Amino acid sequence: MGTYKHWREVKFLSEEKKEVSRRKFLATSIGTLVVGAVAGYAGGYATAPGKVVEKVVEKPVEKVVYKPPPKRPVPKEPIKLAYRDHLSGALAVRGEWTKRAMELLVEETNKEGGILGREISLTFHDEAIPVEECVADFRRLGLEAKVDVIIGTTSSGVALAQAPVADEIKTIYIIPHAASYKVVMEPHKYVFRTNGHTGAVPIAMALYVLKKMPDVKRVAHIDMDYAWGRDNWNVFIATLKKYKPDVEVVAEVWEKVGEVDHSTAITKVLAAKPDIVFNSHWGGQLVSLVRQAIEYKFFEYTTFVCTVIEEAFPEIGPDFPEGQLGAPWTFYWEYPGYRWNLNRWFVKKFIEKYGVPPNYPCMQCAAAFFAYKTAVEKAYEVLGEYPTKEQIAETLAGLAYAHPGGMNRIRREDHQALAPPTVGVTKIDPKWNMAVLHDFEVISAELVYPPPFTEPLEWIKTW
Amino acid sequence: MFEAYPAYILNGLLYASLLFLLSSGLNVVLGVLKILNLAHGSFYVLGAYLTTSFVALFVATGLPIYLVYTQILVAAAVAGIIGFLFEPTLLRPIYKREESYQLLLTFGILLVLSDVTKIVWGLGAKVAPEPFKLLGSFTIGGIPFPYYNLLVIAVGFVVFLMLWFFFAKTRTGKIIRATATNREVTTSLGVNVPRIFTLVFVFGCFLGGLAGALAVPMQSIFPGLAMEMLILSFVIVVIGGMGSLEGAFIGSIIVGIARSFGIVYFPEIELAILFIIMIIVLLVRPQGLFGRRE
Amino acid sequence: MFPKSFHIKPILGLLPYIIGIVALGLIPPLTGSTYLAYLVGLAIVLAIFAMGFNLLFGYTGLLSFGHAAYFGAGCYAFAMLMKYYHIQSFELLFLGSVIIATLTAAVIGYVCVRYIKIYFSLLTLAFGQVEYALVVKLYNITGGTDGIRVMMPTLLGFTFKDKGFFVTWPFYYYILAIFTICVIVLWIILNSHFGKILQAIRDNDVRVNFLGVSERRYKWYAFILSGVFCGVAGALFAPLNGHIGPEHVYWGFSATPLFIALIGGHRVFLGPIIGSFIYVLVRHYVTAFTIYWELFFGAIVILFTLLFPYGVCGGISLWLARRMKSAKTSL
Repeated sequence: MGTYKHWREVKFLSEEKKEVSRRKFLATSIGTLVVGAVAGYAGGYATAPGKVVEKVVEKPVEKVVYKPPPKRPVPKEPIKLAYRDHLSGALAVRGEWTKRAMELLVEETNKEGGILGREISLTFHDEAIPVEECVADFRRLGLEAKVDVIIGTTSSGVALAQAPVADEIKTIYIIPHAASYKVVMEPHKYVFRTNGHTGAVPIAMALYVLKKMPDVKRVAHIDMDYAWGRDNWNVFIATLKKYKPDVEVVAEVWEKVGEVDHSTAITKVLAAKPDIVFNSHWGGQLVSLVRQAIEYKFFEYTTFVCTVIEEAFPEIGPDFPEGQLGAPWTFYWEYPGYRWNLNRWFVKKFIEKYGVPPNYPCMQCAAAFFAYKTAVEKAYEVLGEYPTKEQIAETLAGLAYAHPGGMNRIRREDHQALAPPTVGVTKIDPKWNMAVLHDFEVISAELVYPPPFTEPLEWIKTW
Repeated sequence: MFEAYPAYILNGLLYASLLFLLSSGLNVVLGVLKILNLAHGSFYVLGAYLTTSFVALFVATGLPIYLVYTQILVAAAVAGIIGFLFEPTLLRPIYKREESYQLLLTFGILLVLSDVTKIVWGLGAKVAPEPFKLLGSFTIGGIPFPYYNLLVIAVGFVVFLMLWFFFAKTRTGKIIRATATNREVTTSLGVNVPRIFTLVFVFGCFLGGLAGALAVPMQSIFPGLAMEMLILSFVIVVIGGMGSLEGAFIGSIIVGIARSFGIVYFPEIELAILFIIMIIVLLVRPQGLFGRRE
Repeated sequence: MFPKSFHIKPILGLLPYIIGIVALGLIPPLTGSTYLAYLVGLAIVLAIFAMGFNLLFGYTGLLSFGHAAYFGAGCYAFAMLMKYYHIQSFELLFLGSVIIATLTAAVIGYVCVRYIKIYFSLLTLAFGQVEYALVVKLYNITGGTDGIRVMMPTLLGFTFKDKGFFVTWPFYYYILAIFTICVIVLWIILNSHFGKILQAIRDNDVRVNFLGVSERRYKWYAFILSGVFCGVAGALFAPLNGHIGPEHVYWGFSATPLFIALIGGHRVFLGPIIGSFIYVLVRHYVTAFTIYWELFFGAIVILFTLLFPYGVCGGISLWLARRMKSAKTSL
């Protein structure tokens, strides 16, 4: 199943808890600070296995027992969750999968009683309509339909348009997919993002390329001609050049979004004889590119490096070329692994219901969903009554929580999650009759996330 | 570097072949019925979707796999038959009306067909890779090139020759050309003009569907492509000249090669290059390369 | 069915307009709903856009497929002036956007009016798409496919904090006021000597030339005037929507005023206005119910083209005309 560098933290956490309880048992008159938050930080940040976090030991003081306020009853009406994604159009492949994930998450959570006993009612909204209609629909959801939380959005353009509206209509908006770093360049009270962004993941990808292919020299790329493709490429090549200034860009292809004919792009890149070809295509465009490339024997001539390669695995199946480098953007279904309860729960149920493992957009949905769920539950614990939207928003900022893909922490200043990206090499797994990522690594969040409100390229210059 | 040129030229011809098939369908309807069929892109999409369904069905039956290419023709034929549903019912009443109404009606058909394809085939992308994979590839100038692409180029060329022969030499072809030139006189000569119109419209839809059917094994098809394809066919019709077959052929080749080399040498320009060519042609020779000024 | 040169003069006078504007003005006090104010504001903005478009289509007989270019020029001018020159005053931004949109229309129009019918339409389409490509390519200044966020400008020097309040009250009445002015101005223009010339060009442009009037020059003037109204609409749209992007320059958006003019009636002054309200209300409620909204709209377009070619208003006024037994009447 691959090497789990952080698997040991999982063990570490459970050991620590025993230590804590043993201590409490032994030193009855000593009040100790709860180290739960520290464990959360440790899960996200610790890079070397076995790293011990300092615990704060207080002088013996009067034993103060925290009494949570008496719990008020939870409202009976269902929680309205609106989910938006590409349900139609060129990129509907994305919506197909995330729809499955959301339905599964809500169904299973409702089976266990919902969030704090409240059932969740889920509605789907198409993102493949013009942006201003998305925005108008967004407004409508907040003002007329009065939903509790809006999760979703794959297109960064739509996310950028909807973000200010979320503050206007005072409804929580959690973004699981849209990845432009610009979304968190301005502070928004009600907007949160739970996955990696275009200023961070390409850095991780570049670091992995440098590790796996330290002699890389000739670089080509095929990218979508809009902000996503541009940012991915610019950040990747800036990182690569920072560590290896002699790297040479031998061919560039900018494809328009929704391009179906890749033959010229493939031919041009092959003619330049590159060592690696960088790519950030996603959805149907990635699938059609890989498919055509296979026929052009592309993968026999060069190595493909794609930040979202995992999305194409189920569509291409056993024909997928092995030995290519890629990432599932942020969260991978095989990590954190067999011992992580949430991961087992989600992946097992997904495979039971749909017959295939969840791909990365599904994992991102789960990350967003658990952010909301954990925030609501935590707020209720502290307040004693069901929290308002504002209170949930305040809990989400700075929240550390567990989800099927690992631990995640949402940064307080800009509401960006410091989600450590996963990277790996492709290999065919006969069990699933499709490719998987093996030999993968999780790159630590401090290495790749720029400080709040900083442009990634500016930050790279300061290294 | 120059060793890649044969591959670039072949890619250009590949794109040109698809463009030619697509735009000649639009052109033939424009020339004879004098209607600019805004729904033409929808027939490309229909041809592609039908191919994915028929190829999938064919593969499931287990018949000899090299016969799968017949499915492409079948899909194109069905696209033509669907065109047959629209012409007598919706288009005939508006032949006498103002041009804008014809455009609006065909635009309405475009919208309706877009959603119909979504309802029938769902929202995701569909593929039909078998015809593409079956033929394998060869190397030219050190770069692999699939045989299927050569097939598409060949089909485009053969269709051009057949159309040229049909319109120039056969009796039906000459009757159709007469109808295009002067509707009233042809009617008075005893030709059943409404039947000719239906025939031509169906044929135009067939050509559009054929383009889609040939393209989909190489690529994929998803909803929303109809408008894109329509714009591409516009561009060729303008460049080549409205109603002109040779114009569509030469125009497609020019655009195909320009795009292919444009991507190689001016990667930033891909988005605008078609329209820039179109504007230049409209400004310098508005009737197109082979068109006649009305 | 209808004679080709059928055009419609007013009979009920200003009454429906006065009633309409008063009714629109009562919406915020009566409902207080931000969402409704936003929808109505959008309908008004699109009505101005459609009126500008219809100046060319219904009155001059020129069908443009690229009109989103001038609306988009207005939007982007507004957003970029605000972002890069830090101008907060709506009045200044408005002026700037209208000027830029008008200049765009003047330049493109100068080239396009030399061509007729289908060539004209395709040329306007081509220019529109080139503008779209420019907007997407120059993503460093235009924001590319992400678009540009538009903050709340100051209205007559007053700054506002709450977007909801801004949309429901001060900006809503501002839009209404500008709309009233546009209606009056357009009414005067179209009923003047100039308007008659445009209609003559629509009916038979060759004959107009023989009468000694330069049809090309008047077409150009009509184009420029159309650009002014599109710029006004764009300048109002940018702060209302809070965000603008290249989809507002794309040719699919150019089909919107065409659709509105057709539904409302392109031979009637009131047509684009009524058409816009119908369009906005139907679109929002249809997209809330089903993802197959294109089917619905396509069916409407086919229906109207076959059965109601003069749209809602045209149909009503023809019916009124038959009732009053006079040859040419309208709302």
